[in-house]
Amino acid sequence: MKVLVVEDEPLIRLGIVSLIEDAGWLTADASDADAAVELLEGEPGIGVMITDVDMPGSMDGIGLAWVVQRRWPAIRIIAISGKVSIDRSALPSGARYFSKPLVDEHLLAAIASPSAPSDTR
Amino acid sequence: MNAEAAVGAASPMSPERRRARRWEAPHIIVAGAVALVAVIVGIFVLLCFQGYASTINNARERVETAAGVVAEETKWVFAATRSTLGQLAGRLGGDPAAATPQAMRDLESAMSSLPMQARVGIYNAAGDLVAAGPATAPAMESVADADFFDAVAGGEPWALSAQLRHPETGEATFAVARRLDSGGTFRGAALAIVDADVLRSLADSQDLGEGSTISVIRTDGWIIARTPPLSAPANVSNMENFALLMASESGSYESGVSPVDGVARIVGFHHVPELGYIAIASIARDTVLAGLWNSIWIVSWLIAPIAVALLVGSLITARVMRRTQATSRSLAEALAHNEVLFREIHHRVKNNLQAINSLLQLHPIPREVRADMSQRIAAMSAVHEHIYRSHTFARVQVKDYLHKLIDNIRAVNDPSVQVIVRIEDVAVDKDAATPLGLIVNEVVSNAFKHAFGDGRSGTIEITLVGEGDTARLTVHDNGTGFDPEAPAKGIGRRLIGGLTAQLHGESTHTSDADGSTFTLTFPLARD
Repeated sequence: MKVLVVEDEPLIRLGIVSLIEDAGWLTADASDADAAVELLEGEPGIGVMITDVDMPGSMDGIGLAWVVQRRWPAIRIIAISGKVSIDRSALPSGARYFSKPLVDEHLLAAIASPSAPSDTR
Repeated sequence: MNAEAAVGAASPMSPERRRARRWEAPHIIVAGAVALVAVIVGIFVLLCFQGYASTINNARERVETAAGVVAEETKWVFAATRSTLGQLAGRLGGDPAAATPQAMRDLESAMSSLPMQARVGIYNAAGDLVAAGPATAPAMESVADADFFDAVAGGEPWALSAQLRHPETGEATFAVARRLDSGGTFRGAALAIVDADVLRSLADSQDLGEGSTISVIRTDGWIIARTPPLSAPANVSNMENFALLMASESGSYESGVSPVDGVARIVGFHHVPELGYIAIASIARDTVLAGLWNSIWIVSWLIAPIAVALLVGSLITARVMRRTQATSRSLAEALAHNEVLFREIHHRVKNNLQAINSLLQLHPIPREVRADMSQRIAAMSAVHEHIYRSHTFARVQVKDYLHKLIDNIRAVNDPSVQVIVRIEDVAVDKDAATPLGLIVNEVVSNAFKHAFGDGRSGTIEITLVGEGDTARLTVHDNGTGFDPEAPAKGIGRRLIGGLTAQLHGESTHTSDADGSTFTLTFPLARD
């Protein structure tokens, strides 16, 4: 299984990719929603998408989450954000949410299992 | 408090609402003041009209009464004159030729009993003067052209002249004419020529004020006598109110500008039909209204400053209110701006903490160390987030914050370990919240990691109680315990020591057969 990391800040993207690869998964990464969709269209093996919410481009992470849920319903979605006031109900049902800064173990557990506990922050 | 809600509440009003608000208080105050002034002025004008009507009514009653008095007084004058002339006519036997000097002297003494200055002239049928008295006073030489002479020549026993002016003395007079006849043949006329000044004493006693007149007029409109006197004979029959004058026995009316002297008056009249004249008393409208105008003027001077003060006051109040509203608006906008700024900074702080976490991921250090670090960073961020959400900065209520922190630690650890949390809602200094959170993170994570290494299930008990000025945190596990003498691995113990010092507190970590117990005591208030 491959994990797609969509994050506009390169350092954060790099760190998350590094964490996931260290844990043993393959990764793909994109810096915005359009690049992510393009990547998803060419990469059939992606099982989990981690996306930042606040991103520049034609749509933000919430928009991307909805597109992915509609077009690739098998892909599990994990949204992450540094914003305090994210309306979690705006996310598609089944999508997970984690607040930045991430606790490594929380993220890895969520990638590993759809039933892992959510961030309570 | 939810940050979104806080921003929503502080955000500026919608343009419609603001426009509606802009039309509210200040303009209502000005409109209210204007309305109040309008009401005051309206009432004042109404009272002026009422005052005017009642003043005019009073004046009408007054001139009607005066006209009645003039009618009574003049009736007596005319009756006495007629009586005297009647006696003279009887004595002459209707013949002017019988007017001997002796007869005239007798007449003179009779005339002296009359209430006014009068003289007598005897005229023959051609209208020429044949005798006069008193001898010192000149009389008209001929009355052949006079209408009153025509009247008595035509058969009237009596006639009244219009106002006459003596061609020599210029005095205003009028005449009472008595037909002289014998056997039905007209012989001439006896005239009592009365000084028009006879009305002056009446006018004085009535005291109607400046511009007032007392007059008597014939029913054909010719003025017989008037005070003040006329410079020339005048006829009022062509005046618009003459019909009114003739329509009733007595009454009053408001006359326009008089053709005689250009003064507008309130006129009272009283007919004396048996003697064929009308008594008139009038007061100049200006005299009548002088008192009213004076009152209006005084009240206007009283009202005007009040009205001006009211209007100016309301304008000033409205201006102050508008300024206050503008200030409130800009404050609300500034607050909203600050909220946005605050949220943005918070966002940035969290992103930066994530960037630090990401930097750590890139270092070639053990994965467990990185995981611990990410948990510590998350614990620091949790305080930050709690402060942001609670909007209290000086002191931090730690109950919710520590509960969430402990939940997050449990989420990534062995779920079979029972965790009992008893945390009082203690408020700690803002600088104490982060060290306290990091200590809880360290101690509880350590307990999870090391206490139950042999796979046994156990219990971790976390207690925080406030004891006056201090708080006590206890973390007890019933695990395997540890050797206090053993050298510390990792940074955990050093970190706890440093954080305890930061809290100005004291901490102990003991181990016995029941497991290990960590105790931290720290002051709640900071100097």
